[in-house]
Amino acid sequence: MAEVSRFSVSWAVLMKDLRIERRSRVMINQIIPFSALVMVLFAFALDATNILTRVAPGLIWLAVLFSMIVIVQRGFAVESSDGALEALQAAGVDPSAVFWGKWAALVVQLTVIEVLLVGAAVLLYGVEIRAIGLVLLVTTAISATCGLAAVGTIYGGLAAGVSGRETLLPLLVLPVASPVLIGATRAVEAALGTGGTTISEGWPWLGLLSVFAVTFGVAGSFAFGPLIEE
Amino acid sequence: MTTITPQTIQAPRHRGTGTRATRVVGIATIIMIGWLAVFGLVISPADRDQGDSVRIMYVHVPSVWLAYLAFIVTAVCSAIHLIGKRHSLGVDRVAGASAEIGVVFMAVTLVTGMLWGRITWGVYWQWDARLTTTALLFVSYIGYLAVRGLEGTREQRARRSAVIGLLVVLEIPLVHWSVRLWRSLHQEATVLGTDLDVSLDGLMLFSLFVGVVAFTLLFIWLVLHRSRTLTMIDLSGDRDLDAALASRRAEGGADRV
Amino acid sequence: MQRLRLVVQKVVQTVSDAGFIIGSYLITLGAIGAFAIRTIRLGRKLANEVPDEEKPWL
Repeated sequence: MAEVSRFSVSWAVLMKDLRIERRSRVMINQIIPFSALVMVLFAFALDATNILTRVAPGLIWLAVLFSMIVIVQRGFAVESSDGALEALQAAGVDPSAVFWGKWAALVVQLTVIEVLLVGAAVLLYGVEIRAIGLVLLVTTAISATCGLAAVGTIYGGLAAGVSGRETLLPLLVLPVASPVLIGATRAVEAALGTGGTTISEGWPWLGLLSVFAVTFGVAGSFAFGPLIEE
Repeated sequence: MTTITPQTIQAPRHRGTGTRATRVVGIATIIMIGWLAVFGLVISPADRDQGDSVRIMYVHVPSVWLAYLAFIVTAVCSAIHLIGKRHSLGVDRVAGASAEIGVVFMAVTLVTGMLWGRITWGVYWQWDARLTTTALLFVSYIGYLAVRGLEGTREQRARRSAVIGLLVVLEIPLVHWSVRLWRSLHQEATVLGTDLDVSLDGLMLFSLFVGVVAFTLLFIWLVLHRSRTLTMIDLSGDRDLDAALASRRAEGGADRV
Repeated sequence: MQRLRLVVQKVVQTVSDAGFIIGSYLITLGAIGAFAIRTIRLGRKLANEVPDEEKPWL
Protein backbone atom coordinates (compact mmCIF):
# COMPACT_ATOMS: atom_id res chain seq x y z
CA MET A 1 0.00 0.00 0.00
CA ALA A 2 1.27 3.40 -0.89
CA GLU A 3 2.25 5.30 2.21
CA VAL A 4 -0.06 8.28 2.58
CA SER A 5 1.13 11.06 4.81
CA ARG A 6 -0.96 11.92 7.84
CA PHE A 7 -1.39 15.46 6.72
CA SER A 8 -2.81 14.48 3.36
CA VAL A 9 -5.30 12.17 5.05
CA SER A 10 -6.44 14.97 7.35
CA TRP A 11 -6.61 17.34 4.41
CA ALA A 12 -8.67 14.85 2.39
CA VAL A 13 -11.12 14.35 5.29
CA LEU A 14 -11.43 18.11 5.77
CA MET A 15 -12.03 18.76 2.07
CA LYS A 16 -14.53 15.92 1.90
CA ASP A 17 -16.51 17.31 4.84
CA LEU A 18 -16.54 20.81 3.40
CA ARG A 19 -17.59 19.49 0.02
CA ILE A 20 -20.46 17.58 1.62
CA GLU A 21 -21.52 20.77 3.35
CA ARG A 22 -21.35 22.77 0.15
CA ARG A 23 -23.46 20.28 -1.71
CA SER A 24 -26.00 19.39 0.96
CA ARG A 25 -26.35 22.97 2.25
CA VAL A 26 -27.36 21.67 5.69
CA MET A 27 -25.19 24.34 7.27
CA ILE A 28 -26.81 27.21 5.39
CA ASN A 29 -30.34 25.87 5.32
CA GLN A 30 -30.61 24.43 8.80
CA ILE A 31 -27.79 25.05 11.25
CA ILE A 32 -27.29 28.77 10.71
CA PRO A 33 -31.06 29.46 10.89
CA PHE A 34 -31.14 27.33 14.05
CA SER A 35 -28.44 29.36 15.79
CA ALA A 36 -30.05 32.64 14.69
CA LEU A 37 -33.31 31.33 16.12
CA VAL A 38 -31.60 30.56 19.43
CA MET A 39 -30.41 34.17 19.61
CA VAL A 40 -33.93 35.44 18.95
CA LEU A 41 -35.37 33.09 21.57
CA PHE A 42 -32.90 34.38 24.17
CA ALA A 43 -34.19 37.86 23.41
CA PHE A 44 -37.76 36.69 24.02
CA ALA A 45 -36.78 35.01 27.27
CA LEU A 46 -34.72 37.90 28.64
CA ASP A 47 -36.86 40.76 27.43
CA ALA A 48 -34.98 43.97 28.24
CA THR A 49 -32.21 45.22 25.94
CA ASN A 50 -29.86 46.25 28.74
CA ILE A 51 -29.94 42.73 30.17
CA LEU A 52 -29.25 41.32 26.74
CA THR A 53 -26.22 43.54 26.26
CA ARG A 54 -24.94 42.47 29.66
CA VAL A 55 -25.32 38.72 29.05
CA ALA A 56 -24.63 38.71 25.30
CA PRO A 57 -21.17 37.04 25.55
CA GLY A 58 -22.65 34.10 27.44
CA LEU A 59 -25.55 33.79 25.04
CA ILE A 60 -23.21 33.78 22.04
CA TRP A 61 -21.20 30.88 23.46
CA LEU A 62 -24.31 28.98 24.54
CA ALA A 63 -25.64 29.28 21.01
CA VAL A 64 -22.25 28.10 19.69
CA LEU A 65 -22.39 25.06 22.00
CA PHE A 66 -25.92 24.13 20.93
CA SER A 67 -25.05 24.57 17.28
CA MET A 68 -21.94 22.47 17.74
CA ILE A 69 -24.01 19.57 19.06
CA VAL A 70 -26.12 19.70 15.91
CA ILE A 71 -23.10 20.01 13.62
CA VAL A 72 -21.29 17.10 15.27
CA GLN A 73 -24.34 14.87 15.07
CA ARG A 74 -24.66 15.67 11.42
CA GLY A 75 -20.91 15.35 10.74
CA PHE A 76 -20.71 11.85 12.15
CA ALA A 77 -24.07 10.68 10.85
CA VAL A 78 -22.50 11.21 7.43
CA GLU A 79 -19.54 9.00 8.42
CA SER A 80 -21.47 6.16 9.97
CA SER A 81 -24.40 5.90 7.58
CA ASP A 82 -22.35 4.25 4.87
CA GLY A 83 -19.68 2.77 7.12
CA ALA A 84 -17.09 5.32 6.02
CA LEU A 85 -15.18 5.23 9.30
CA GLU A 86 -14.91 1.45 9.16
CA ALA A 87 -13.78 1.60 5.56
CA LEU A 88 -11.06 4.07 6.50
CA GLN A 89 -9.91 1.79 9.29
CA ALA A 90 -9.94 -1.23 7.03
CA ALA A 91 -7.74 0.77 4.66
CA GLY A 92 -5.25 1.18 7.50
CA VAL A 93 -5.59 4.93 7.76
CA ASP A 94 -4.16 6.48 10.91
CA PRO A 95 -7.16 7.32 13.15
CA SER A 96 -5.43 10.41 14.54
CA ALA A 97 -5.20 11.78 11.00
CA VAL A 98 -8.93 11.26 10.61
CA PHE A 99 -9.42 12.96 13.97
CA TRP A 100 -7.53 16.07 12.88
CA GLY A 101 -9.40 16.17 9.58
CA LYS A 102 -12.79 16.04 11.28
CA TRP A 103 -11.49 18.53 13.83
CA ALA A 104 -10.47 21.00 11.13
CA ALA A 105 -13.84 20.69 9.40
CA LEU A 106 -15.57 21.39 12.72
CA VAL A 107 -13.29 24.37 13.36
CA VAL A 108 -14.24 25.87 10.00
CA GLN A 109 -17.95 25.40 10.61
CA LEU A 110 -17.81 26.72 14.16
CA THR A 111 -15.89 29.78 13.01
CA VAL A 112 -18.60 30.58 10.48
CA ILE A 113 -21.25 30.23 13.19
CA GLU A 114 -19.30 32.39 15.64
CA VAL A 115 -18.81 35.23 13.17
CA LEU A 116 -22.51 35.19 12.36
CA LEU A 117 -23.53 35.03 16.02
CA VAL A 118 -21.32 37.95 16.98
CA GLY A 119 -22.90 39.85 14.08
CA ALA A 120 -26.35 38.88 15.37
CA ALA A 121 -25.40 40.07 18.87
CA VAL A 122 -24.33 43.43 17.46
CA LEU A 123 -27.56 43.79 15.51
CA LEU A 124 -30.06 42.31 17.95
CA TYR A 125 -28.57 42.87 21.40
CA GLY A 126 -26.89 46.23 20.86
CA VAL A 127 -23.41 44.89 21.60
CA GLU A 128 -20.56 47.22 20.64
CA ILE A 129 -17.18 45.86 19.66
CA ARG A 130 -14.33 48.11 20.71
CA ALA A 131 -11.13 48.21 18.68
CA ILE A 132 -8.96 47.83 21.78
CA GLY A 133 -10.50 44.45 22.58
CA LEU A 134 -10.30 43.04 19.10
CA VAL A 135 -7.08 41.06 19.64
CA LEU A 136 -8.47 39.43 22.77
CA LEU A 137 -11.77 38.72 21.03
CA VAL A 138 -10.12 36.99 18.07
CA THR A 139 -7.58 34.99 20.08
CA THR A 140 -10.33 33.89 22.48
CA ALA A 141 -12.51 32.77 19.61
CA ILE A 142 -9.63 30.82 18.04
CA SER A 143 -8.57 29.00 21.20
CA ALA A 144 -12.13 28.32 22.34
CA THR A 145 -13.03 26.99 18.91
CA CYS A 146 -10.01 24.68 18.84
CA GLY A 147 -10.92 23.28 22.26
CA LEU A 148 -14.60 22.87 21.47
CA ALA A 149 -13.87 21.22 18.15
CA ALA A 150 -11.54 18.73 19.84
CA VAL A 151 -14.18 17.78 22.41
CA GLY A 152 -16.90 17.62 19.77
CA THR A 153 -14.82 15.39 17.52
CA ILE A 154 -13.86 12.99 20.30
CA TYR A 155 -17.41 12.43 21.50
CA GLY A 156 -18.86 12.57 18.01
CA GLY A 157 -16.53 9.72 17.03
CA LEU A 158 -17.60 7.73 20.07
CA ALA A 159 -21.27 8.14 19.30
CA ALA A 160 -20.92 7.55 15.57
CA GLY A 161 -22.71 4.46 14.40
CA VAL A 162 -24.38 3.79 17.73
CA SER A 163 -28.11 4.06 18.21
CA GLY A 164 -29.19 6.52 20.86
CA ARG A 165 -26.36 8.91 20.07
CA GLU A 166 -28.70 11.86 19.56
CA THR A 167 -29.48 11.94 23.24
CA LEU A 168 -26.08 10.80 24.46
CA LEU A 169 -23.95 13.43 22.73
CA PRO A 170 -25.15 16.49 24.69
CA LEU A 171 -24.87 14.58 27.95
CA LEU A 172 -21.23 13.80 27.21
CA VAL A 173 -20.15 17.04 25.54
CA LEU A 174 -21.76 19.74 27.68
CA PRO A 175 -20.10 18.93 31.02
CA VAL A 176 -16.69 18.65 29.40
CA ALA A 177 -17.22 21.85 27.42
CA SER A 178 -18.33 23.86 30.46
CA PRO A 179 -14.83 25.25 31.19
CA VAL A 180 -14.84 26.64 27.65
CA LEU A 181 -18.25 28.20 28.19
CA ILE A 182 -17.10 29.85 31.41
CA GLY A 183 -13.70 30.89 30.06
CA ALA A 184 -14.77 32.12 26.65
CA THR A 185 -17.70 34.04 28.11
CA ARG A 186 -15.53 35.88 30.62
CA ALA A 187 -12.84 36.59 28.05
CA VAL A 188 -15.35 37.98 25.57
CA GLU A 189 -16.91 40.07 28.34
CA ALA A 190 -13.47 41.51 28.98
CA ALA A 191 -12.92 42.13 25.28
CA LEU A 192 -16.24 43.91 24.90
CA GLY A 193 -15.97 45.68 28.23
CA THR A 194 -19.30 44.26 29.37
CA GLY A 195 -20.24 45.38 32.88
CA GLY A 196 -17.13 47.54 33.23
CA THR A 197 -14.61 44.75 32.84
CA THR A 198 -11.13 45.59 31.59
CA ILE A 199 -9.12 43.88 28.86
CA SER A 200 -6.52 42.62 31.33
CA GLU A 201 -9.15 40.48 33.07
CA GLY A 202 -9.48 38.47 29.88
CA TRP A 203 -5.96 37.11 29.56
CA PRO A 204 -6.05 34.50 32.37
CA TRP A 205 -9.08 33.03 30.63
CA LEU A 206 -7.19 32.82 27.39
CA GLY A 207 -4.59 30.75 29.24
CA LEU A 208 -7.30 28.37 30.43
CA LEU A 209 -8.78 28.08 26.95
CA SER A 210 -5.38 27.35 25.42
CA VAL A 211 -4.57 24.66 27.98
CA PHE A 212 -8.00 23.16 27.36
CA ALA A 213 -7.50 23.13 23.59
CA VAL A 214 -4.05 21.54 23.82
CA THR A 215 -5.17 18.96 26.41
CA PHE A 216 -8.16 17.74 24.46
CA GLY A 217 -6.36 18.03 21.13
CA VAL A 218 -3.63 15.68 22.32
CA ALA A 219 -6.11 13.44 24.15
CA GLY A 220 -8.30 13.26 21.07
CA SER A 221 -5.55 12.24 18.72
CA PHE A 222 -4.71 9.34 21.05
CA ALA A 223 -8.27 8.44 22.03
CA PHE A 224 -9.90 8.58 18.63
CA GLY A 225 -8.47 5.24 17.46
CA PRO A 226 -9.71 3.14 20.39
CA LEU A 227 -13.05 4.99 20.36
CA ILE A 228 -14.01 4.29 16.77
CA GLU A 229 -12.38 0.87 16.56
CA GLU A 230 -14.89 -1.90 15.90
CA MET B 1 -35.60 -40.27 55.49
CA THR B 2 -34.63 -37.74 52.88
CA THR B 3 -35.56 -37.83 49.28
CA ILE B 4 -33.33 -36.09 46.83
CA THR B 5 -35.46 -34.05 44.53
CA PRO B 6 -34.05 -32.53 41.37
CA GLN B 7 -34.42 -29.12 42.97
CA THR B 8 -32.14 -29.87 45.87
CA ILE B 9 -29.53 -31.22 43.48
CA GLN B 10 -29.70 -28.12 41.34
CA ALA B 11 -29.76 -25.71 44.26
CA PRO B 12 -26.31 -24.12 44.21
CA ARG B 13 -24.20 -24.31 47.31
CA HIS B 14 -23.09 -20.72 46.89
CA ARG B 15 -25.99 -18.36 46.84
CA GLY B 16 -25.59 -15.05 45.09
CA THR B 17 -22.42 -13.07 44.96
CA GLY B 18 -21.33 -13.63 48.53
CA THR B 19 -18.18 -15.34 49.70
CA ARG B 20 -16.52 -15.61 53.09
CA ALA B 21 -14.54 -12.43 52.36
CA THR B 22 -17.59 -10.35 51.50
CA ARG B 23 -19.41 -11.61 54.58
CA VAL B 24 -16.53 -10.57 56.83
CA VAL B 25 -16.32 -7.16 55.19
CA GLY B 26 -20.10 -6.83 55.30
CA ILE B 27 -20.34 -7.52 59.01
CA ALA B 28 -17.49 -5.11 59.71
CA THR B 29 -19.29 -2.49 57.61
CA ILE B 30 -22.52 -2.86 59.52
CA ILE B 31 -20.70 -2.55 62.84
CA MET B 32 -18.83 0.54 61.67
CA ILE B 33 -21.99 2.19 60.34
CA GLY B 34 -23.65 1.53 63.69
CA TRP B 35 -20.68 3.20 65.36
CA LEU B 36 -20.91 6.09 62.91
CA ALA B 37 -24.56 6.67 63.79
CA VAL B 38 -23.79 6.54 67.51
CA PHE B 39 -20.76 8.82 67.32
CA GLY B 40 -22.10 11.15 64.67
CA LEU B 41 -25.57 11.67 66.08
CA VAL B 42 -25.12 11.19 69.82
CA ILE B 43 -21.62 11.20 71.29
CA SER B 44 -19.79 13.85 69.29
CA PRO B 45 -20.42 17.42 70.44
CA ALA B 46 -22.11 20.19 68.49
CA ASP B 47 -19.72 22.56 66.78
CA ARG B 48 -19.07 26.00 68.26
CA ASP B 49 -19.86 27.80 64.98
CA GLN B 50 -21.99 25.36 63.06
CA GLY B 51 -24.03 23.88 65.87
CA ASP B 52 -25.51 20.50 65.25
CA SER B 53 -25.31 20.83 61.50
CA VAL B 54 -21.71 19.66 61.75
CA ARG B 55 -23.17 16.18 62.26
CA ILE B 56 -24.06 16.10 58.59
CA MET B 57 -20.32 16.25 57.90
CA TYR B 58 -19.84 12.78 59.36
CA VAL B 59 -21.78 11.30 56.47
CA HIS B 60 -21.09 14.02 53.90
CA VAL B 61 -17.30 14.01 54.01
CA PRO B 62 -16.94 10.20 53.95
CA SER B 63 -19.35 9.95 51.02
CA VAL B 64 -17.53 12.56 48.96
CA TRP B 65 -14.24 10.87 49.76
CA LEU B 66 -15.75 7.59 48.66
CA ALA B 67 -17.13 9.03 45.45
CA TYR B 68 -13.71 10.34 44.50
CA LEU B 69 -12.07 7.08 45.53
CA ALA B 70 -14.56 5.23 43.33
CA PHE B 71 -13.73 7.44 40.36
CA ILE B 72 -9.99 6.99 40.96
CA VAL B 73 -10.54 3.23 40.95
CA THR B 74 -12.49 3.57 37.70
CA ALA B 75 -9.71 5.61 36.10
CA VAL B 76 -6.98 3.21 37.24
CA CYS B 77 -8.95 0.19 36.02
CA SER B 78 -9.60 1.96 32.71
CA ALA B 79 -5.87 2.59 32.29
CA ILE B 80 -5.04 -1.02 33.19
CA HIS B 81 -7.59 -2.24 30.67
CA LEU B 82 -6.18 -0.10 27.87
CA ILE B 83 -2.48 -0.59 28.62
CA GLY B 84 -2.58 -4.22 29.71
CA LYS B 85 -1.83 -6.83 27.09
CA ARG B 86 -4.84 -8.95 27.98
CA HIS B 87 -7.35 -6.08 27.80
CA SER B 88 -9.05 -7.85 30.68
CA LEU B 89 -12.84 -7.65 30.80
CA GLY B 90 -12.71 -8.36 34.53
CA VAL B 91 -10.88 -5.09 35.15
CA ASP B 92 -13.41 -3.33 32.96
CA ARG B 93 -16.25 -4.68 35.09
CA VAL B 94 -14.56 -3.46 38.25
CA ALA B 95 -14.28 -0.03 36.60
CA GLY B 96 -17.99 -0.11 35.77
CA ALA B 97 -19.03 -1.32 39.22
CA SER B 98 -16.89 1.33 40.85
CA ALA B 99 -18.35 4.09 38.69
CA GLU B 100 -21.90 3.02 39.51
CA ILE B 101 -21.13 3.10 43.21
CA GLY B 102 -19.37 6.45 42.77
CA VAL B 103 -22.47 7.92 41.14
CA VAL B 104 -24.64 6.75 44.04
CA PHE B 105 -22.26 8.23 46.60
CA MET B 106 -21.94 11.43 44.61
CA ALA B 107 -25.70 11.87 44.46
CA VAL B 108 -25.85 11.37 48.22
CA THR B 109 -22.99 13.82 48.66
CA LEU B 110 -24.76 16.50 46.68
CA VAL B 111 -28.01 16.08 48.58
CA THR B 112 -26.42 16.08 52.04
CA GLY B 113 -24.21 18.97 51.01
CA MET B 114 -27.26 20.96 50.00
CA LEU B 115 -28.99 20.20 53.28
CA TRP B 116 -25.89 21.36 55.15
CA GLY B 117 -25.68 24.45 52.97
CA ARG B 118 -29.30 25.31 53.73
CA ILE B 119 -28.56 25.27 57.44
CA THR B 120 -25.18 26.98 57.32
CA TRP B 121 -25.43 29.42 54.42
CA GLY B 122 -29.20 29.74 54.28
CA VAL B 123 -29.25 28.60 50.66
CA TYR B 124 -29.13 25.16 49.12
CA TRP B 125 -26.56 26.01 46.49
CA GLN B 126 -23.45 28.14 46.17
CA TRP B 127 -21.52 28.50 42.94
CA ASP B 128 -18.41 27.46 44.75
CA ALA B 129 -15.59 25.72 42.89
CA ARG B 130 -15.85 22.55 44.91
CA LEU B 131 -19.61 22.24 44.59
CA THR B 132 -19.71 23.04 40.91
CA THR B 133 -16.89 20.67 40.06
CA THR B 134 -18.62 17.92 42.00
CA ALA B 135 -21.91 18.52 40.21
CA LEU B 136 -20.29 18.45 36.77
CA LEU B 137 -18.33 15.36 37.72
CA PHE B 138 -21.58 13.70 38.73
CA VAL B 139 -23.13 14.44 35.34
CA SER B 140 -19.98 13.29 33.57
CA TYR B 141 -20.07 9.92 35.28
CA ILE B 142 -23.73 9.52 34.44
CA GLY B 143 -22.52 10.00 30.87
CA TYR B 144 -19.82 7.39 31.45
CA LEU B 145 -22.46 4.90 32.62
CA ALA B 146 -24.56 5.75 29.56
CA VAL B 147 -21.56 4.92 27.36
CA ARG B 148 -21.28 1.57 29.13
CA GLY B 149 -24.89 0.93 28.20
CA LEU B 150 -24.32 1.51 24.49
CA GLU B 151 -24.82 -1.34 22.08
CA GLY B 152 -21.80 -3.25 20.84
CA THR B 153 -19.56 -6.12 21.83
CA ARG B 154 -18.06 -6.48 25.31
CA GLU B 155 -14.65 -5.51 23.99
CA GLN B 156 -16.05 -2.40 22.35
CA ARG B 157 -17.86 -1.45 25.52
CA ALA B 158 -14.75 -1.97 27.60
CA ARG B 159 -12.51 0.03 25.28
CA ARG B 160 -14.92 2.91 24.80
CA SER B 161 -15.73 3.26 28.45
CA ALA B 162 -12.06 3.02 29.42
CA VAL B 163 -11.26 5.95 27.12
CA ILE B 164 -14.20 7.95 28.50
CA GLY B 165 -13.17 7.06 32.05
CA LEU B 166 -9.75 8.56 31.42
CA LEU B 167 -11.09 11.63 29.59
CA VAL B 168 -13.25 12.51 32.59
CA VAL B 169 -10.08 12.57 34.68
CA LEU B 170 -8.66 15.20 32.29
CA GLU B 171 -11.86 17.17 32.68
CA ILE B 172 -11.80 17.46 36.49
CA PRO B 173 -8.81 19.85 36.90
CA LEU B 174 -9.94 22.01 33.97
CA VAL B 175 -13.44 22.38 35.36
CA HIS B 176 -12.12 23.10 38.84
CA TRP B 177 -9.64 25.67 37.52
CA SER B 178 -12.27 27.45 35.45
CA VAL B 179 -14.82 27.64 38.24
CA ARG B 180 -12.23 28.86 40.75
CA LEU B 181 -11.06 31.57 38.41
CA TRP B 182 -14.64 32.54 37.72
CA ARG B 183 -15.60 32.85 41.38
CA SER B 184 -12.41 34.59 42.42
CA LEU B 185 -12.91 37.29 39.79
CA HIS B 186 -16.53 37.94 40.51
CA GLN B 187 -16.77 37.53 44.25
CA GLU B 188 -14.56 39.73 46.36
CA ALA B 189 -15.40 38.44 49.79
CA THR B 190 -16.14 34.75 49.80
CA VAL B 191 -19.55 33.84 51.10
CA LEU B 192 -18.13 30.57 52.27
CA GLY B 193 -16.80 32.09 55.46
CA THR B 194 -17.77 28.97 57.30
CA ASP B 195 -16.19 26.47 54.99
CA LEU B 196 -15.72 22.80 55.66
CA ASP B 197 -12.38 23.56 57.25
CA VAL B 198 -13.71 23.83 60.79
CA SER B 199 -11.39 23.35 63.69
CA LEU B 200 -12.23 19.85 64.72
CA ASP B 201 -11.77 18.67 68.23
CA GLY B 202 -10.62 15.14 68.99
CA LEU B 203 -14.02 13.52 69.23
CA MET B 204 -15.26 15.14 66.03
CA LEU B 205 -12.17 14.04 64.18
CA PHE B 206 -12.67 10.54 65.51
CA SER B 207 -16.31 10.51 64.35
CA LEU B 208 -15.17 11.57 60.92
CA PHE B 209 -12.55 8.85 60.98
CA VAL B 210 -15.20 6.27 61.88
CA GLY B 211 -17.26 7.49 58.96
CA VAL B 212 -14.39 7.22 56.51
CA VAL B 213 -13.51 3.70 57.66
CA ALA B 214 -17.16 2.61 57.55
CA PHE B 215 -17.67 3.95 54.04
CA THR B 216 -14.40 2.55 52.74
CA LEU B 217 -15.42 -0.90 53.97
CA LEU B 218 -18.83 -0.35 52.42
CA PHE B 219 -17.17 0.56 49.14
CA ILE B 220 -15.05 -2.61 49.13
CA TRP B 221 -18.11 -4.71 49.89
CA LEU B 222 -20.18 -3.02 47.20
CA VAL B 223 -17.45 -3.27 44.54
CA LEU B 224 -17.03 -6.99 45.20
CA HIS B 225 -20.74 -7.68 44.91
CA ARG B 226 -21.44 -5.31 42.07
CA SER B 227 -18.57 -6.44 39.85
CA ARG B 228 -19.55 -10.08 40.43
CA THR B 229 -23.11 -9.22 39.49
CA LEU B 230 -21.90 -7.48 36.33
CA THR B 231 -19.85 -10.56 35.52
CA MET B 232 -22.94 -12.72 35.83
CA ILE B 233 -24.98 -10.32 33.69
CA ASP B 234 -22.37 -10.82 30.97
CA LEU B 235 -22.23 -14.58 31.52
CA SER B 236 -25.99 -15.03 31.46
CA GLY B 237 -26.10 -12.84 28.36
CA ASP B 238 -23.64 -15.25 26.74
CA ARG B 239 -25.76 -18.18 27.81
CA ASP B 240 -28.91 -16.60 26.40
CA LEU B 241 -27.07 -16.02 23.15
CA ASP B 242 -25.82 -19.63 23.10
CA ALA B 243 -29.32 -20.90 23.82
CA ALA B 244 -30.79 -18.72 21.09
CA LEU B 245 -28.17 -19.93 18.63
CA ALA B 246 -28.77 -23.55 19.62
CA SER B 247 -32.52 -23.25 19.22
CA ARG B 248 -32.03 -21.50 15.88
CA ARG B 249 -29.75 -24.30 14.77
CA ALA B 250 -32.29 -26.85 15.96
CA GLU B 251 -34.99 -25.07 13.99
CA GLY B 252 -32.76 -25.05 10.94
CA GLY B 253 -32.14 -28.78 11.39
CA ALA B 254 -35.86 -29.45 11.76
CA ASP B 255 -36.57 -27.55 8.57
CA ARG B 256 -34.09 -29.59 6.65
CA VAL B 257 -35.50 -32.89 7.85
CA MET C 1 -46.46 5.14 68.26
CA GLN C 2 -47.45 7.94 70.60
CA ARG C 3 -44.23 7.58 72.53
CA LEU C 4 -42.21 7.58 69.32
CA ARG C 5 -43.81 10.83 68.29
CA LEU C 6 -42.98 12.36 71.67
CA VAL C 7 -39.37 11.26 71.37
CA VAL C 8 -39.13 12.71 67.89
CA GLN C 9 -40.67 15.96 69.06
CA LYS C 10 -38.20 16.20 71.90
CA VAL C 11 -35.25 15.60 69.60
CA VAL C 12 -36.53 18.18 67.13
CA GLN C 13 -36.86 20.75 69.90
CA THR C 14 -33.48 20.18 71.50
CA VAL C 15 -31.34 19.73 68.41
CA SER C 16 -31.35 22.56 65.90
CA ASP C 17 -32.31 21.53 62.36
CA ALA C 18 -32.81 17.92 63.44
CA GLY C 19 -34.93 17.16 60.41
CA PHE C 20 -32.12 18.11 58.07
CA ILE C 21 -29.50 16.23 60.03
CA ILE C 22 -31.46 13.03 60.49
CA GLY C 23 -32.72 13.40 56.95
CA SER C 24 -29.20 13.50 55.59
CA TYR C 25 -28.29 10.32 57.49
CA LEU C 26 -31.43 8.61 56.25
CA ILE C 27 -30.85 9.70 52.66
CA THR C 28 -27.24 8.54 52.71
CA LEU C 29 -27.90 5.17 54.26
CA GLY C 30 -31.18 4.72 52.39
CA ALA C 31 -29.77 5.37 48.95
CA ILE C 32 -26.72 3.19 49.47
CA GLY C 33 -28.82 0.53 51.16
CA ALA C 34 -31.25 0.47 48.24
CA PHE C 35 -28.36 0.14 45.80
CA ALA C 36 -26.84 -2.67 47.88
CA ILE C 37 -30.13 -4.57 48.14
CA ARG C 38 -30.73 -4.27 44.42
CA THR C 39 -27.26 -5.59 43.71
CA ILE C 40 -27.61 -8.52 46.07
CA ARG C 41 -31.06 -9.42 44.74
CA LEU C 42 -29.90 -9.30 41.14
CA GLY C 43 -26.83 -11.33 42.08
CA ARG C 44 -28.95 -14.05 43.72
CA LYS C 45 -31.27 -14.18 40.74
CA LEU C 46 -28.45 -14.48 38.25
CA ALA C 47 -26.47 -16.91 40.38
CA ASN C 48 -29.12 -19.54 39.69
CA GLU C 49 -28.74 -19.07 35.95
CA VAL C 50 -24.97 -19.26 35.80
CA PRO C 51 -23.21 -22.49 36.75
CA ASP C 52 -20.77 -22.27 39.64
CA GLU C 53 -17.74 -23.30 37.62
CA GLU C 54 -18.07 -20.19 35.46
CA LYS C 55 -17.95 -17.84 38.43
CA PRO C 56 -14.39 -16.64 38.75
CA TRP C 57 -14.64 -15.75 42.43
CA LEU C 58 -15.56 -19.19 43.73
